[in-house]
Amino acid sequence: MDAATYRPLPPDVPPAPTVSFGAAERSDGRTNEDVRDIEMQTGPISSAVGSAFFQIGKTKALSAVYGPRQSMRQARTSSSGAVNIDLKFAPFAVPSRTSMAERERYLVGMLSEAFESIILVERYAKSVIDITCIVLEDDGGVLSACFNAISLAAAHAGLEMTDIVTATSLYCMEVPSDTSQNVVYLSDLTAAEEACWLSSGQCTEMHVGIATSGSSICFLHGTGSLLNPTCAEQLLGRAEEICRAIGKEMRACLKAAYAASQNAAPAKTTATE
Amino acid sequence: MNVSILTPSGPSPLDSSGGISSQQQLVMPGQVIPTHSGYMRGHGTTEENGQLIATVCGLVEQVSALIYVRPLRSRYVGEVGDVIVGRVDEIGNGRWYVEVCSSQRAQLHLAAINLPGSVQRRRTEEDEKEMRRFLAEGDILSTEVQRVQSDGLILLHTRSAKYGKLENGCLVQVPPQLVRRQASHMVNLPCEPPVGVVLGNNGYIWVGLPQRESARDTINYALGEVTYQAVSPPQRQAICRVRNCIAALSAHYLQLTPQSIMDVYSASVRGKLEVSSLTNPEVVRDLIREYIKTKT
Repeated sequence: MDAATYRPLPPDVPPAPTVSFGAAERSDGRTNEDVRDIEMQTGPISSAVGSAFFQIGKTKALSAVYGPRQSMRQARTSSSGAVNIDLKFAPFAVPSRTSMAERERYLVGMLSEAFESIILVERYAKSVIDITCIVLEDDGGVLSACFNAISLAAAHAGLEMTDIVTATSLYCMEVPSDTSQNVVYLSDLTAAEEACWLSSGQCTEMHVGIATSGSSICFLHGTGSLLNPTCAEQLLGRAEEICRAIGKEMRACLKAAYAASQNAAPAKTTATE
Repeated sequence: MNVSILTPSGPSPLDSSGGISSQQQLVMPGQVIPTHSGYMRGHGTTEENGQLIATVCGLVEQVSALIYVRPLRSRYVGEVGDVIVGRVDEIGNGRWYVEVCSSQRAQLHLAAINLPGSVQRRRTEEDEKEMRRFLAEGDILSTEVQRVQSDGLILLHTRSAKYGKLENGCLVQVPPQLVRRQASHMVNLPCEPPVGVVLGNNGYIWVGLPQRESARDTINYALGEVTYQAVSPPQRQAICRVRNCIAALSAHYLQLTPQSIMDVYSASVRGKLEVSSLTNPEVVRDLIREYIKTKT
């Protein structure tokens, strides 16, 4: 993890983001399809059953899984287990010092719904699984970064899940142009780009979670005016490609974590009692 | 006061040497497990469109027709006959609720303990009121799994002289996968002076004064009441050293057996390491490297 990237307040106002067709570059040097660099790590929090760190560009999310633990309330009200997700923004995660409570609730609502279907809760009767996620820095794409961090932490914790599910954020917007093709598809906006286009309402966003072994969509959230079949098809096609790539990395990351532990543990011994 | 600042730790001495052994397959959730006809579906798997799919991260294990996935990290899943160490969480309804690192608290019924003086009789309401005298909240005990219910609830018993309240020592928590089922879980290690260790299958390990030999199973024994007793400074040193050796093994994800603990213990004595220095990750790494070298 590289240090020295925590910057509570930007030193200067970033240049207005640009978008263009074809091979031209975005303000941070990426093309429209490019996703920022990703880094992931398992086990940063040793006291948790499973934990993971996920970074995309400068957006950083840290997640830990505790449990399953017993819950009397769950035993009374339902035959299956429950997933409690707690998401917090670090005080230094965003430049402005406004309250993030509403945004936290909004994200928790969506993530809880998604992970209750991804984690096989029916196998955890009478139990509650506590998942915490903290956003260390918000530079756009928080929802998908948290989603990926939680997904990796859950896999690391040995929870029973349907699949390794990864998420990505995609956007499209109409750009006035003479040519016939005037819808621009963008991947993975930074905070500056989000602030410029998303808040003004000219950009359509779509957050997609895809089960990477099969190819079912586990999570879909979109807003905007361009959610027509053509655009949706384009966006989903791109999402699948990106999610598969992230899923591949996640498997490699888990494999590396387990290879280290499996080395240490001598090969299978049979029970002798 | 000495303050030591550590540099970011390098790789574990074990990380570099190869990967997963070739006979065993590492699977991730959603991955298809190859099967043969007439297999039985075990833990950590699900069936979809006639295919066996893994639902946890772990290694595929096969016992005759049964195929299951053994996760390398998870909470403790009870099995009948396991020796486990737990902490009393709550008392009520004629039973103790014991925290055992499982997804639910285990239960120890009043009827599943031996009354003092090994009296055989029905448990009355008076006994229920007296429960705190045997075990109070926060007490640590060694016990055995009597039964596991279909929803994973563990029922315990302490109907043997070797089980019961633990005192005069300390508890270490390690991942449950590191304590395999072995011939003996309650051992006195030949340290100087001797140290008693209870290796709980649930990853809770008790390190304390040696167990008394007199606590033997007979038809009518007197329950050896465990009481507080003065622990001499050399004895404390030995207990702390064993505790730190267990933590060192666990930090590098190594199996815990009486043998492996003793090996690391001897290595630390040979290296003339202070007990307190064994909490330093760098010292621990060198110690484990030394231990691996002597083993291979």
